[in-house]
Amino acid sequence: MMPNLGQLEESVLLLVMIMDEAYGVSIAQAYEEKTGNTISIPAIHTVLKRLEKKGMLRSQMGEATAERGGRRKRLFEATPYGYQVISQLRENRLKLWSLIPKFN
Amino acid sequence: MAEKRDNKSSVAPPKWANRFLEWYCAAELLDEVQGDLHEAFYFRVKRYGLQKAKWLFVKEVLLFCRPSSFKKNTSLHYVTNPDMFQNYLKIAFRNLLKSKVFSAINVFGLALGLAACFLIMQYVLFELSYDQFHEGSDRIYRVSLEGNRTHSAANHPLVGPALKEDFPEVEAYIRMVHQSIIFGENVAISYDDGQGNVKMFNEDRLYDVDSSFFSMFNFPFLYGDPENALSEASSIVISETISNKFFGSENPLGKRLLIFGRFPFTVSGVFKDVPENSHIKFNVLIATWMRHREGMQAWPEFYTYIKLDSLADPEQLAAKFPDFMQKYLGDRMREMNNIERLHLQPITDIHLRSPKLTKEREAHGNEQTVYFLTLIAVLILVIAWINYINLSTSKSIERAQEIGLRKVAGASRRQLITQFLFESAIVNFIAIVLSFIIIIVSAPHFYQLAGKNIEISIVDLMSKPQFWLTLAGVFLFGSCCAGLYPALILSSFRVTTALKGKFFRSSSGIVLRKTLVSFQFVISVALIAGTIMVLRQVSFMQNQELGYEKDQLLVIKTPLVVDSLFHQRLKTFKIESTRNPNIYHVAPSNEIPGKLISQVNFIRNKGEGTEANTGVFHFHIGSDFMSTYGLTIIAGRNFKENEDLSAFDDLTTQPVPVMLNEKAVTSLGYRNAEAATNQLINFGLGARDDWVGEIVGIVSNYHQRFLKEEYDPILYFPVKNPTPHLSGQYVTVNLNTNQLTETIAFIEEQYAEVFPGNAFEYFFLDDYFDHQYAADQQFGRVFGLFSALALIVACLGLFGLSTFMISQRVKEIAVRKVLGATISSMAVLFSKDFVRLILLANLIALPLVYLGVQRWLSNFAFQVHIGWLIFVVPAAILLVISLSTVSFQTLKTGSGNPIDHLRQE
Repeated sequence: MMPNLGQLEESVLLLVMIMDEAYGVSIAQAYEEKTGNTISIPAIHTVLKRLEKKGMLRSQMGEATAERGGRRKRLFEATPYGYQVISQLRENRLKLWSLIPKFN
Repeated sequence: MAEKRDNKSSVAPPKWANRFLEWYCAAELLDEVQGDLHEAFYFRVKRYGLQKAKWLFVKEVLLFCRPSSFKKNTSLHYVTNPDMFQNYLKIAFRNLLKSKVFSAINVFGLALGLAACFLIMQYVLFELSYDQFHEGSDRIYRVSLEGNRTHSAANHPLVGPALKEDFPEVEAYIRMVHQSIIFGENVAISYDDGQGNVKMFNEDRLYDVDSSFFSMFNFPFLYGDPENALSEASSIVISETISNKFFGSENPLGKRLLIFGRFPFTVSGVFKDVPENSHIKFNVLIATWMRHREGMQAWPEFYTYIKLDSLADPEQLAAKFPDFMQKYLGDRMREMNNIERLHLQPITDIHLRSPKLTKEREAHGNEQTVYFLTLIAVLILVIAWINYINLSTSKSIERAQEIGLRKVAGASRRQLITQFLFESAIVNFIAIVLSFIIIIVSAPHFYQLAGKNIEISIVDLMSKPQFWLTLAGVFLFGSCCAGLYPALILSSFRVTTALKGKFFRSSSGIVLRKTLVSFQFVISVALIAGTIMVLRQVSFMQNQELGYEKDQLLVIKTPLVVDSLFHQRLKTFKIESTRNPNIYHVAPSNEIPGKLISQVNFIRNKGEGTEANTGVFHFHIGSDFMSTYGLTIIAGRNFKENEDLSAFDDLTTQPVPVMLNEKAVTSLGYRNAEAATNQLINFGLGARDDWVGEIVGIVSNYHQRFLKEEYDPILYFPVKNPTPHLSGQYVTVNLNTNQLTETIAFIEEQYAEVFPGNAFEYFFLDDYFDHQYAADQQFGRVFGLFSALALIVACLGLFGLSTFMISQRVKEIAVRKVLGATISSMAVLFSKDFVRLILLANLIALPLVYLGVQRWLSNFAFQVHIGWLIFVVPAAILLVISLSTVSFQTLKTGSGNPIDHLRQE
């Protein structure tokens, strides 16, 4: 049974896996860089929270930096379950791709 | 250094948004959320610039503001938590439904108060909206003319053009002159469709204006072009109503209308009827006589409006007026021995803030009335809120157990407060909805009562942002302030006592409730007493002896289109009419009591200089006038039958017989009436002011105008052969009112015979005279209505409170009854508290009322005595209401079997 994963959720999950230091702003910036679409910070936070609830991400508080007004950041990383879901997703997709009739 | 700091402080997220975030955001989330937002902000400053970054910051702070980020243990959290929300809603409705009477009183009282408040606010907003619809209305001024004795709304004809010529800041001027100066008080307008059908209507709101009228004033047109509508001397512009009367739904442009059957005009425009909130009201406009320089120039009868350019300072302009007047009117002022001054009145101030001016054509509103009504609106709302506080506080005591249980289950005080504020918001919301229903149903009746021709639609109202702001304000204030006290009281219950279901009584709570109730009583007393005084003054004015018998006088308007035989016909009419035994006297005159006399001029004792001039009103009468009106001649004699002003060729040598009233005699400086008899005077008439008259008789004072005004000084001239101009405007018939219908039919018959082809228009003098009281009567009615509403709301509160009070003492009543107390003795006991409060309220309210009433009465020249009624009636009304409520409740509770109450635990 495939867990339900939205397109934005999938992108964010992938971004977290790619990045060294994944937290709200950095994810938002990476998202904008990689996809060209803009996204608001609250939207990113919502997605992160949702993924964490589904067990695909886990988080811990990092240290504070000056540009954050002395506030700490919440750092995210993917759980083994998260990796599993992503790879399963990819497999499923490739399976479907291969079924598309080829014309040449 | 300083620069650097400035730089740094300016590149920062908006402080308020940051603080707002810190306020609502849960502590465990704050680090990541605030940190992320700040980091993103600085990143965005570099990327998009400061403005956009700030904007995005605010946007995202607001986006984060959602239930999941709220602090736990805050009101926001509980209400937005779906489970608690559902619970609060359910409990709130259960409580409302549990005691239906109570809830109904609470909601209905609040709704009534809100509805009254909204109605008044709408009325007030309407009154404040006068003349705002003209483009650049803040730059349009009316130029009024103040002389030694009078301050007139109308001005000299030359003032408008000369102001524009002399002062560059005057952009434009408009003059208007009423038909009465050109044609007479009534004008007959007719239309002949060429097939023998002639329609004729009388008009009394026709003005001759400058042709650029519609470039200063914005009155929307249905047909024609406002800019050029009055460009021809033969153009006539009419209102939609007039157009419908003559032409139905046809396009009337180019049709020919006749004034008095002689002067032809071509319809060149139709405008929508002048809105109620315009201080100038007209039905027909022409721009004809204004073009002629000669003829009318002597009379200061021109309403003059000027528009200043946007940079002009009206005060600076006004400072130049004295020199201006010397330049243009210096000679005239010296000749008349009258210093005249010009004043600028902002057009938007005229309706409410204009001082009392002569020559105003329309009745104006009164700023004091408007503010007074606003005060009443607020008071009613306050009464309603006090009710709400009292009722909910008392009622909530029954919920002690619920609160106890909630506390045991872990509810914090904050949570309880939130719950009760939420309930209060629900009640306020229902009340607002209900009040809208009340407004929609009652608004037409209210405006009829207030005498305003306002068509309001609720849709119209809802399109205004002020409306929503007020509504939100009232809702928030109502739910928070009125709900806060009960919420605080309720949430402060101690768990153990609350769970036992014991009643909570704190002495401070009782004191507060008593204070609030006495405050309600104070307002009620003041409103009742005020209503009594207004009604008394109005009825006093209507029932006062006027100096003549107004009940049996019938006034007929003479025909507007007349021939050279007019006075012969009038004579025939008089002789034929008096043949009827029910008709006692018939007298033509150019004026009648019940209106301001339009002709004014000066008199002085013969031989004195012009500095002794004193103003008098001119009244042209026949010898029969005195007997028709039953006026008393206190010295000298009446006019003789053959005396006639028009018989004198040179009035400067041969004295004309004239009569004066007492007031005029006093202002000439005579000790008494006898001393003035047979004395000679100089008087002004037309352009000259040195005619000679002999005072042959003195008439006792009578009320020419209503009792708000003093007696007017009047000079009577004899006219034997009346023309429509001299003494021919009205014919007064003194008749026996027993067989009225027959008598009037008889007069109409005579009239038709003597003046064939003319409409028979008549009215009774008492109706006409009392018409002047319309504004005061309306004020009385509106005041009475809202006082009654306030009283009803206060009574609802009283009823609810006494019900509650008795229900708290059920056991006490039972015990007393067992021990042998009678119900009546208990009723007396329980009423004591209320009686004390009512007496206290009277003590506070009556001095205030006394001062207020005195101030209001000073508007009237003739005043009713304040009397003892206002000190007794309000107290009596309140006592009766509260005692009967308390007794009723005592009776209801006390009549049961005591054991039923005592057993209850």
